[in-house]
Amino acid sequence: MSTDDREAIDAEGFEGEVDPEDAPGYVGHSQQRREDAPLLRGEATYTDDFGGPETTSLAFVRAEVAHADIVEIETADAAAIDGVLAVYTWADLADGDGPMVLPASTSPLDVAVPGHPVLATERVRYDGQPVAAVVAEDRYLAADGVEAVDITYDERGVVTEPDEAAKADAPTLYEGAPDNVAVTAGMGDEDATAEAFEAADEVVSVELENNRLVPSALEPRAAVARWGGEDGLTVTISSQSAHGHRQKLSQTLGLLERDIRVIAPGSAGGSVTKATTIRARRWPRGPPGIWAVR
Amino acid sequence: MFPPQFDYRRPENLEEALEAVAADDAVALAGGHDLVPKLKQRETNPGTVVDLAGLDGLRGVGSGQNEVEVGALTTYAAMLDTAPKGVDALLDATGEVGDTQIRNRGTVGGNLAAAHPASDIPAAALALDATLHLTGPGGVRSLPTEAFYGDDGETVCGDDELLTELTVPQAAGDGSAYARKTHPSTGYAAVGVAARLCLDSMGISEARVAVTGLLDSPARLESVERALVGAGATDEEFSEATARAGEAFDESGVRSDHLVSADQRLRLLPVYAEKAISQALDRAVDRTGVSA
Repeated sequence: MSTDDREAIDAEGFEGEVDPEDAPGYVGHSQQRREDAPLLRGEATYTDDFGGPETTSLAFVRAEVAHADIVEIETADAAAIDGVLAVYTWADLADGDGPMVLPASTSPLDVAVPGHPVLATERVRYDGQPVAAVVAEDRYLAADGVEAVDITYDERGVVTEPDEAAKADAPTLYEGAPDNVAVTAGMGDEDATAEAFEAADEVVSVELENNRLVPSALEPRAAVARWGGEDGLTVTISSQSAHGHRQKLSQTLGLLERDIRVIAPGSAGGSVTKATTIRARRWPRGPPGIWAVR
Repeated sequence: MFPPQFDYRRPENLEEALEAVAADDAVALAGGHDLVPKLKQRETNPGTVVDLAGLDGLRGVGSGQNEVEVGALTTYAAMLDTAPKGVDALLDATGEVGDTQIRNRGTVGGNLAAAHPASDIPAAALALDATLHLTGPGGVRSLPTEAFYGDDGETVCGDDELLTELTVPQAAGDGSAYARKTHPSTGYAAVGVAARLCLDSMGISEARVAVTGLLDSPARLESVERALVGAGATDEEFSEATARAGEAFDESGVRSDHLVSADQRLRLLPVYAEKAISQALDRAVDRTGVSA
């Protein structure tokens, strides 16, 4: 719409516009939003506001290759940084109390892909997969630690298109799904559909591409975790699904759901992707207390 | 997205600032749109960041003898608000930078000194034959825009120098304009062209045309300039001059990335050269009353 168009509408209204006077109720009226005032005044509390002075920061070292065997993870330089409290890899987590593997899916379908270990085990399978975790006194030192971790990879083949991934010569991502197909599902009445096409005067074929969604919330994924001993684990997380997180945390950490409390405070955006980082005040019985989903 | 640790200095005058930037691994901070993302991505690890925000003397637009003087720390927004006469290409380019928030913070001098290969301001400065004034321990040295930029995306600004001022000549009888193809996701110019034309009763007497986004550094379209001088103001003749704009460039030297290929940039070049030239001509005709 051009500026001229807008000015014309402002001056005269446009065809079909309902005069707010004639439209009682919600339609046609500006609605007073109730949640905006604290956000605009800077009074809203986001996840970052829940840390407190003793909170440590956790940051992940992420894979910079899409598919590779991990040959070596060199963490000594990172661990030696003043203010870096710990550097963890899968080798540390594997000896912990919980499985530290997120279940692959809650779907009733038979999914051929195994669960997702919170840190990469012997292989990375996507660009950005968490490989090591650095705990430090603050987020800047954690970032210093991440930069100091050195990972050696032995790269494997990659594909970026679903069609290519399903071909016979494509590199295999999971041994349990040698053809790279995670799940096969169907719905509807196949015979009736075939009949309908058969009887159609004209059949048009179209290839549909389901684009990758990359939501980008104003507040990034963030969580504060507090281990309260017998009081269990309290996690404050920027997310819209507190119950889902409690269930996943329970399954991943090997804690009972009743020992986990998940709090979802004000959140600057959600859209499905919210949950990666966690900051732990204390480390219960070794590494657990940390988790990552993607 | 967390920068490495660095010292922070905020000098209150130019002398202190020059002393501060001369220190080993010190970098100057103006609007920060180039430096801060690089810090956050850890692409740079300076020992000291020297914040120039206290140097009020480097802010503002003034008029000299037939020239416009732009302090290096003048924000894009202040430049547009002041809107000096006779430097339309520079105003066009300034208006294309980022959005309102960026234009309120970013500076004209910072843009020139950062030398991003797709920056708008350098093309306008080059077409308008602006002079860049660098202040160092030995005083001020003044360079034409083309001498400020090397071919490799670098500038000749020394580690102990600061770009302090830009002066742009104002001539009677000229018109200038800047036109660009904005990349839809990055907001940068895929190609941007600035043109300045002088008219006399015989037609176009002088032409300077410069491109950004195409090479690692801003560059003049000399073949187009030559073709324009003496040309009448018919569309066909401009089209002919601009259509061959790309021929002067070897495709291997043209920027090519996942956003815009070299071939695409070379195809965009004539289109935006023509836009800039034709608007510059319209403005020159308006100013002079000459109907070339």
